[in-house]
Amino acid sequence: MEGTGYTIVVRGRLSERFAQAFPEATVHAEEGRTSLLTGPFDQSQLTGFLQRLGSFGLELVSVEERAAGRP
Amino acid sequence: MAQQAASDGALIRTKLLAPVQREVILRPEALAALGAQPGRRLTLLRAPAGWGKSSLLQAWHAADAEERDFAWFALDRGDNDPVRFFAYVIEALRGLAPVVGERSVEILRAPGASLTDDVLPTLLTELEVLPGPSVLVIDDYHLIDSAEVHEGMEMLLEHLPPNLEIAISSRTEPPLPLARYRGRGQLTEVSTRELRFTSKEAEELLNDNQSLELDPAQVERLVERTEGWPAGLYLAALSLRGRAEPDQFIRDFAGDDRHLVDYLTAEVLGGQSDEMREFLLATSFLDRFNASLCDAVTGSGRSARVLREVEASNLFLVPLDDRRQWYRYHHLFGELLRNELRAGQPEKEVEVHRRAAAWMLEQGMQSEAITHLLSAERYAEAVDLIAEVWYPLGASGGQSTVQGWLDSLPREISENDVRLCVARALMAISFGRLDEVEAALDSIAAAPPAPGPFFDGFTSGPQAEKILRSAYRWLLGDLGGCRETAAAALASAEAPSAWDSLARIRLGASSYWLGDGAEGISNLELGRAGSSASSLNPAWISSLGLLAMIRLEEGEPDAARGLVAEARDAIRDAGLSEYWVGAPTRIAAAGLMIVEGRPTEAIEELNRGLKLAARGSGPTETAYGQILLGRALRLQGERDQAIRLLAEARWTIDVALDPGPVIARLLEQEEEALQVTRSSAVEAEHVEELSDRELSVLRMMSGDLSQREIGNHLYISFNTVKTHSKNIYRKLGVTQRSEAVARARRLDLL
Repeated sequence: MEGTGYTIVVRGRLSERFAQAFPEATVHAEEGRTSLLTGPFDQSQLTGFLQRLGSFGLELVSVEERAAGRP
Repeated sequence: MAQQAASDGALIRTKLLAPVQREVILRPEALAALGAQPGRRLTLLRAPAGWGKSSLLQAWHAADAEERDFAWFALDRGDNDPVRFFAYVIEALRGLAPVVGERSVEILRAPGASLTDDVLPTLLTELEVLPGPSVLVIDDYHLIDSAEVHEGMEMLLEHLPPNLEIAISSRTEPPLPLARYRGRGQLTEVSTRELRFTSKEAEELLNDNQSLELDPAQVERLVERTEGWPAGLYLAALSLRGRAEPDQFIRDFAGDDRHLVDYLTAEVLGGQSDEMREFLLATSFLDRFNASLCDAVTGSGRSARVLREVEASNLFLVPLDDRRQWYRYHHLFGELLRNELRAGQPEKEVEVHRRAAAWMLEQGMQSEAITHLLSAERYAEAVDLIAEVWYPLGASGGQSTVQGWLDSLPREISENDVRLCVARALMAISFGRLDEVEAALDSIAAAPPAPGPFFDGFTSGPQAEKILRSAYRWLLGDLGGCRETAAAALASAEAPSAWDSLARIRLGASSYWLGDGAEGISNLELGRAGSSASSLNPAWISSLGLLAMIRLEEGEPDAARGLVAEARDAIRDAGLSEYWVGAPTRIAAAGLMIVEGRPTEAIEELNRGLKLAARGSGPTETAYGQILLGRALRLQGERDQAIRLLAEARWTIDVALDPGPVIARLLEQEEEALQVTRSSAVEAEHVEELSDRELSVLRMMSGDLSQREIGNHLYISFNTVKTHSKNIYRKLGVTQRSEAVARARRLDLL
């Protein structure tokens, strides 16, 4: 998969401390939701990452691939 | 697996016990979904972490124990391995009827045996005797991503005896043909909709169970904030315990947009004493634990008391046995604790794994110790331990576990220890993965001298390389190369090892089939004596069978009979009846039956022998068996079938790199007896089109992936890739991967 990575949104605001569970992503907490920006993942890395979110009881809102050239 | 099970018995048994019933909330509505449904094969509880899947299964077990028998298998991360997975499945089912596993376990552990062709058909026959309605519960199936396990489960579900159904809990939808079961009314599905706590159930949890004395409005607020998520409600209950002003807490919590797990974990952990918090964090990296292991990891002597406290305060501790010795954390809570430890004391994780490994070692749980050492990145210690245990473990069904360790070590480390390179090569040879052998042998040659002792009977890398190379050349049917490398191994200046007898056997067998009868027999006899003396059972069994074949060929049936009898005893005593090293014995036994005028029995024995041979034997034994089968069929008057068998033998010999003159002459004699020419034999094999699956395998063959890697890419098992490859070779009329690719390019298939 080409592209610069994925933007993954989960429900709920994550504290900085909690976000340390996902060192491979940059975490932006917003109101009522949190975006996790990952690097360029292949499919199995993406699946693994989503599974890990699930193992913390986090609820997925959206997953989007970021096109090259856009942050 | 036998040895492993003996050493970590208590821990392993906890995987096969239904968890002990805690004071759970009775959930009649959710339970009703699981009620008896005639013809059902699968019940699937599919929901994310913390939705009460295991608890509901437990409640079902408790409620229905009188109507049906339950077999329980709680998965761990390490169970993503077909042999290990089905060994536990069989062990769990054995609790329903002792006859289960009588034969299937041995087949399962046999190197090269196929799960779907050999193991599961036997298991399904054994399951026919189940006395009454039974359920096999498999908890946490999402931990499986092995294509071979999924294939096996699909087959099991498809052919399930009427008395058995399967219940699976999983966080993700398993890749099983659910639509098919759904269409046939064979599937019950339970999802978050059924698992969500109603207000009434929440009230029961918060007030009756946790004695919080909340009013209906407060309960309602918590249900809204958690959306009925059981783990969320439970965490909320723990946070509320002992609070003077529950209302304030509930209002803060309900008004906060922080993720509720994040919010409540901080609350729950903040409410614990320092000692308790430290204990919870330090033990969070253990899959299962008892007080002694906790003492080792925390460095305190108070774990038994703390564990009782943890259990009394309902901190997500799941007791695993009736005697309350072994526990685990609820998966979600364990994950939260591990994260907390990583965030607060990142250096501690490695320390915890190191201490756990030391304790496991003391208890003789070497496999578990290796897993912890790998997590602690204590590679030098892990490598030494793998070098020590891989051979017995691999020989008793733990090959994927060993392979998993080798794969999880950094390459520069695993390839730098010659003992592990030997392990890689020997496993590839034993399990018929010939395309991986060459690279493994090269890595033996490139590695520096072993840093510690060999535990597998070898004495040095260079010696191991020569001996294993001779075995590899035999399997390729390169008898000239086999004889040359075996002779070089025996002439080398390296220290002698128990494995020298294997080189001796290969030297003898290749010499014989190259036309050097006397030299062949004398070396085989030497190899037979040597392997017997050093208890190298597979080599010993192989030498007996090969000698029996030769004595038969030399017209000495009495000598052959004695060898077959000795080999059969050896196979039985070593529990290797399903290992392909026993194929020559069966083939020789069948040859005797032909001599004795019993072709019908011979045909049966040959079919079994050839099936064994297909798991990994060399082309010489296989072709010999096919020729004998052709002869037996001819004697039975089955001319067409006999012609087909001789065509197969011809193909086997063509595939071999250097099969020697003896086997070719035997084939010609048999062809003459049947009055077939080579061309009519070839015509008997009609050319077929490649299936879609075969085409996709063929496409991957043009790259440089091994067969195992091709399987991983296509989500099919190694055995399936092997079967596809064989069919591709046969259909294209080629004998090697490179030829198949070249031929396919010419035919515009690629």
